[in-house]
Amino acid sequence: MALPAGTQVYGQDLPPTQYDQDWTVILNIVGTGYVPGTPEVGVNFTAPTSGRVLVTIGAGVRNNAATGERAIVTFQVFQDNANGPAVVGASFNSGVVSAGVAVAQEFHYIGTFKMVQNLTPGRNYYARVVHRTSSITVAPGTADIASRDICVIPLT
Amino acid sequence: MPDIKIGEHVGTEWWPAAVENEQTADLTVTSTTAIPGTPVCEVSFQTPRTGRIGVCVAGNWTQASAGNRLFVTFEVYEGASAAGTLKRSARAHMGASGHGHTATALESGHGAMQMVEALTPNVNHYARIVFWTEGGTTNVLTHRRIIVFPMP
Repeated sequence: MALPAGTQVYGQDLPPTQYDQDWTVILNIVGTGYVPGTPEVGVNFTAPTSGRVLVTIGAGVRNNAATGERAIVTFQVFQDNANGPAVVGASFNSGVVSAGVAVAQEFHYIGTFKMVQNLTPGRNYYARVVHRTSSITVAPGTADIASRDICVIPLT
Repeated sequence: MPDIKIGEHVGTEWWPAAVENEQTADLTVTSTTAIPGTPVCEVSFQTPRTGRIGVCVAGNWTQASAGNRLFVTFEVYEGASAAGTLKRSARAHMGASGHGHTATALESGHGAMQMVEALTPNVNHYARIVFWTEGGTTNVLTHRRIIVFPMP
């Protein structure tokens, strides 16, 4: 819901921004299904009055061999915690992806943005980074991650 | 374009709604000048009292034409559409691009965020994604997203 014109804005309308990051290197990603990895990079946040937040995702990604594999890093949002109902599923289109050229690459560091809408104002949610590889062409996989970060910013 | 002063009453004129638009149509990009494509990835929004906004552009694309980068950025107009006054023209360095690697590339995801300031406060504006290629005909834009939010 939008803040009605002319009303005063209170602190609870714009709760704190939350951020988490980790630079544990994850080599040779083996799964084509999304996993949070170790350690898990995630934040608990309170939905603002608008029910809208901006989620930013960043990662260092590469493919370490001359294969067509790609590292895909995106996010999920749950009510309350990772055991709660998923309100935003992991989507390729909401994340970052390594270069997608079939040559060995250095890590490159990229980010992207997605608005999440229709959250219940004042409710607690949990957002976390998840990743997968696009395919396994050379076992155990040649897609790598050097770092991951997530930021959830309340919007109006 | 005032800043929020210490102790000042902060009302909704500082915080109009944030907006997002997302388009999933696959567009084969051949234009070497900035175009919005069809359908247009566009948003209408009201500027906050500061006249400052954050603009995020994001997208997925396939760079299948060796060495030819795809550029994805945005324009901002004052008014309800691109018929209004152009306030921020498309700039390659204020968006995201392909990597220009001399090999064909699979679909990958990108994003960039900029601040635009000195907009007229509290009036309707319009922003849209525009894009172009350096050359070649096989850059395919598969997903576009634009987010505009007020900034203090």
